[in-house]
Amino acid sequence: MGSFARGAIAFAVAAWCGAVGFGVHAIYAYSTTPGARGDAEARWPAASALPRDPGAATLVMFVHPDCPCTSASVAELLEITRATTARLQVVFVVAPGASGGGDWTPPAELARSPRVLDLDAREARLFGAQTSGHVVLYDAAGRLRFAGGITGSRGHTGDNIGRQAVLGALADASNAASAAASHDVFGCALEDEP
Amino acid sequence: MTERARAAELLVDARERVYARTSRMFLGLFVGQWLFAIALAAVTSPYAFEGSTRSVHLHLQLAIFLGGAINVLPCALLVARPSWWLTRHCVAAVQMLWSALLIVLTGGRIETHFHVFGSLAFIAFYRDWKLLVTATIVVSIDHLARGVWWPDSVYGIANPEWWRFLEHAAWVTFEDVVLVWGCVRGVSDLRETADRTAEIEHAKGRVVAIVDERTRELRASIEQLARAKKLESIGRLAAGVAHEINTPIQFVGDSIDFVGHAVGELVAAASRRRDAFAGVDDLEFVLAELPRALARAGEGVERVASIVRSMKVFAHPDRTEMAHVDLNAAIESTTVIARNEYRYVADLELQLGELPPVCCHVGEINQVVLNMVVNAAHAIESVVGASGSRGRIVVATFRDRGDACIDITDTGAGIPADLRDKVFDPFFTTKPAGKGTGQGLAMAHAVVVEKHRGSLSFDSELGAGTTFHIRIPVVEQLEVAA
Repeated sequence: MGSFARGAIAFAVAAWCGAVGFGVHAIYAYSTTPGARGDAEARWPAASALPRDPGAATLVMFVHPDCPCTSASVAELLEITRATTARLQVVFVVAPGASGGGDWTPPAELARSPRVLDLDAREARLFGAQTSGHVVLYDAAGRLRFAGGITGSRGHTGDNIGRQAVLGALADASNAASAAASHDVFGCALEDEP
Repeated sequence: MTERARAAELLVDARERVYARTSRMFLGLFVGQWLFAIALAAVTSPYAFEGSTRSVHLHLQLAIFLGGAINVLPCALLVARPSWWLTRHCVAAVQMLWSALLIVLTGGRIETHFHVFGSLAFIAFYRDWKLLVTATIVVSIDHLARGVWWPDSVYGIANPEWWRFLEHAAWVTFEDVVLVWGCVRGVSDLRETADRTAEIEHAKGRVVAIVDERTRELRASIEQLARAKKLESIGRLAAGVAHEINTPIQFVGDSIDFVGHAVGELVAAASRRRDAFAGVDDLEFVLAELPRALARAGEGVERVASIVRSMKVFAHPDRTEMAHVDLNAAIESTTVIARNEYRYVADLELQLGELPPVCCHVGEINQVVLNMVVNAAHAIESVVGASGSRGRIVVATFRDRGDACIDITDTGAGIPADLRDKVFDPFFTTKPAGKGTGQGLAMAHAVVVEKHRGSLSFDSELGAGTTFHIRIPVVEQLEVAA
C-alpha cells in the first residue's frame, strides 16, 4: 500500500472518529442538559385549585402529554409509590401540549390519581414548573419538601438523586426542620417559547 | 510445494473465506441495525416538544445521521477490503458502538445490554480472538467514560461505585473466554481440515505421478515391443537370407578353392611351356595376377561367409527362452554387425577372456552389446568429428567370481556429472534428433538388471571416456535355468 493510500485511510479514520465523537457529544449534551424550572412556593399555594389531602403528603407531577421523556418520569414516580410506606397523594397536572392533553393517561397503578388539565399553565406557574416531569412534594402540613425532576437524564429510567430525594423526604416527612430538596428536571418544555 | 506449505496455504485460504463470509454478514447487520435504530427512534421518540411546538427528536436525528456516520467507515472497508485485518478490527469496534447507541436510544434499558453479548458472539464468527480484545477494550472505555460523565445511561443509577465498569467488563470478559476458546478451536478445526486436504492432495499427486510413470513405462514397453517385433522380423528375414546365402557361398568358396588349385597347376605348367601360350597378350601379367585374383576372391567369399555366420548368430529369431550360450562368440558376432557404425571413427579391440556358458536371452544381450558399441561409436564421433583422427573401443570379457563380466570402453567425451543420474532414464538422450531415442540404455538396464538379475554401471571421466560394466550372474542363472 502506498503512502498516499495510507494517508487517505488515516484521514478517513480521523474524520470518521471526529464525526462519531461529535454525535456522541450531541447525545450526551442533549440527554444531560436539564430543562428550565422556576421556584416553587415554600408552602402549598393557596391559589392552587389542585386537590390536596391534608392528612397525607401530596406529590404533583407536571407532564407534557406528547413528550417521549414523560414516560421515564412517570416510571420513576411509580417506583417511588411502590417504595414508600408514607401516605402519598399523587396529582398529575397535564399541559395541553400539541395533542390537547385530554387523552393522556397514567399507568394503571396510578389510574386513580387525579388528573388536572392545565390549559392556561396557571398551576404550572404557581408551582414553578416549566419542564415535563417536574415534581413538587408537599408534606401533610403543606410544606415544600422537594422540587425538580426524578430522572437522572432525559428519558432515562433508573435510580437517581431525584428519586432518592423524594423517598428521603417522604421518609422524613415529620421533620419540620428539613429543608426542601431539589434536582434537575429533564424533559420537554411545558409551554411554548414566549 | 511441500505438503506442509500447501497445508499452510489452504489454511490461509480457508481463513480468508471465513473473513469474507463474516464480513458479508456484518455488512447486512450494520445496515439492519441502522434501519432498526431509525425505526426504534421513530416509534419511541419521534418528536421533542416545546409546548405545542414539535420538532424532530434528537434521538431520531442521531439514529439517522450518527448511525449512518458510524456505518460509513466499516461498510466502506467491508466492501473494499472485506478480509483486511483493519476492516475486522473496525467492525469489532463499530459493533460495540452500535451497542452503546442502541442502549442510549432505548433510554438506558438494561435489557439492551444483551446486544453487547450478542455482538461479541457475532464478532467471534470471524474466528479471530484478537477482535474480541478490540471489542472488549471499546466496551470498557465506553463504560468507563459514561460511568464518569453519564453513569445512569449505562448503569441505570446516578452514583455507581467506581469499580462498576470493571464488573461489566468482567462479564464481557467471561463471555470472551468462552468465545476465544471457540475461536481457537475453530481455527484448529480449519487447520486440521487444511492438513487433511493437503495430505489428500499430496497423496493424489503421488498417485498421479506413479500413474504417469507407469504410463510412460508402458508406452516405452509398447514401443520396445513393437521395435522388438520389427527386429525379430528383420532378424528372421536376415536369418533366412543368411541361410539361403550360406549354401551358395559355401560352394562358391569351395569352387574358388578348386579353381585356385587348378589355376595354380595351370600357371605352373604355362610357366614351363611358355611357347605354347605365345599368342596370349601379357602372359607374364596374367600368370602373376591370376592366383592373386583368386586369392582375393577367396578372401571376399570368406568374409561374406563370416558376416553371414554372424548374422545367424546375432539374429536367433526363434530363440525366446533362456539358453546356455558362448557370450564371447555372441560378442564377436555383434561387433561384426556393428562394424559399419564405428569403422570410420574408431578401432575396435576385443579382449575376450575365459567365460563359461552363460544362461541368458542371447538375442537381448546381443542387442545390449550392440547398443553399447553404437553409443561408444557416437561418443567418439562427437569428439573426433571430421578431423580424421580415430578413437578406440575395447570390448573385454572376464569372469569375476560368479559373474560373467563385459566391459565396453570408449575414448569419447565422457558423461557430464549432472547427467549421470539420468542416463538410464527412458527417453533421456543428448543425441541430436533422429540419431537417438533415449531408450537404448534404458532397455539395456531393463535387460541386464531386471531380466537377468545382473548389474549395469559405468565409470566416466569427462574428456577421457566411459566404461560400461555389464555383470551377468553365471551360477544363479544356471540355478534358475535348472
